Amino acid sequence: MEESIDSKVEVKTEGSQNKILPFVLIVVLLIGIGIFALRKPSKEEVLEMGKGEEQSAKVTMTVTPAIIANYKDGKYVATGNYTSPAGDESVEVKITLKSNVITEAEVISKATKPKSITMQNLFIGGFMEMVVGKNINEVKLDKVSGSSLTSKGFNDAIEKIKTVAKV
Amino acid sequence: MGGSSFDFLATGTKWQFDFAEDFSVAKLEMIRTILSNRAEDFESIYSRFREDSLISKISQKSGEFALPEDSEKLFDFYFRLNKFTNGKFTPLVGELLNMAGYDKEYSFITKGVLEHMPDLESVAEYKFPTINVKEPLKWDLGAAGKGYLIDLLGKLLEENGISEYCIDAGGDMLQKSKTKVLRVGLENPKNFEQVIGVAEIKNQSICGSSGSRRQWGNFHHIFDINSLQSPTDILSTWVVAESAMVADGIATSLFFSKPVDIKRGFDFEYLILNSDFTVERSKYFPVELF
Repeated sequence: MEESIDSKVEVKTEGSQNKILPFVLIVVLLIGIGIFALRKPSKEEVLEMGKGEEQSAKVTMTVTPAIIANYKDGKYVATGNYTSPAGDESVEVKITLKSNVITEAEVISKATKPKSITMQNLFIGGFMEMVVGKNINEVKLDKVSGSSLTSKGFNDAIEKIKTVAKV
Repeated sequence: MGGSSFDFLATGTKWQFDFAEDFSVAKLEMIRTILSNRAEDFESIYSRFREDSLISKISQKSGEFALPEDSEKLFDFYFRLNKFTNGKFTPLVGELLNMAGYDKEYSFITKGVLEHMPDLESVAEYKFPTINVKEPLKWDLGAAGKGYLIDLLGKLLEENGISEYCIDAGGDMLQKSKTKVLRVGLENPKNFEQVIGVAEIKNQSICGSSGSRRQWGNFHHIFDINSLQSPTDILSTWVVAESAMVADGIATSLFFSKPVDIKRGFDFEYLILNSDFTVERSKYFPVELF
């Protein structure tokens, strides 16, 4: 019951992109990693699928962010088709690229067969995003939410302790 | 660009108020006085650092206590979120904070071995407007108290005819506007010059929680009452909700409880920044990540 991916991938882009093909491969790879059972348990979270005889595959849920060299910023949409044991299925991936980094990704299940739906939802639910941060002055903001403006008394006390601790 | 603003210090942090309207200096001063007085009243009742506060009283003596009118929502919330976090969100964390050294004097000296807390239900019977304390233990309402005060001050503004405003209490905020979307940067807890994303809110509250600044020894101000430790796998959490009290309390709870459990009882969107800089968020958390 190996599910195999075929090469029918349709890509629509919003914006003018020309170097799409290598990128498509990465999208396919992402889909592949997520949907299909990896035999190797990774050091990340591993979910055990249904215990039935039919399905005991382990699915790794973590996808590391892909860094790709020299692609145009923009939103990309790709539909990946594949043949599952239950028949043909597809999954849609929407990705936003910014400075060669995937900044946003959404995976939408197009599956129609119950087992494929379960498999795809597992992948979608476990999709991990990673952030790197951006300097405050590069972003237009009204406010900042965080802990930098915490209790003044607390901060003063901590400073005092640090001074004492240095001696 | 119209608009006016003022700020004052309360609950140990800066409270900033921005208004869409251009109020006169006299009117601003009047509103400022009303709000800062209300904040002062609130602290005199709910701060564990004030010796004569209600919270100090119920921390010291068993017995039945009459609760003030404005406490109903806050106590209801504490007892309800306590249930949906399997007892982990509890005002009795005051006992742990104090033992770990986060006390009135900010001593940061651990006083002996931290011990497990009894269940909130077994310590106090709550039925508004009374609370029956069976065992005096130190209470702390800090995890949702500030959020609740934001809600109260927002209501006070509306009672005074001001419907468009933004209250920012040290990074926890409530915004009301007919037209304006508020863009709120989510601070990178490892680098305050950076944000990890921008959330956009309108007629909502966003509250954040982070262990990064209030840290001493192995502790920060959030405790997992089961492990008796401050969680380290999560750096920061943000919650968007209609009420600042709900957003504030849940932001803290996400450090030790699963979002799916809390979702059973409350309506909110969340974003969790893990210590490896991966992000977990609910589907409709309104954010652009960097």
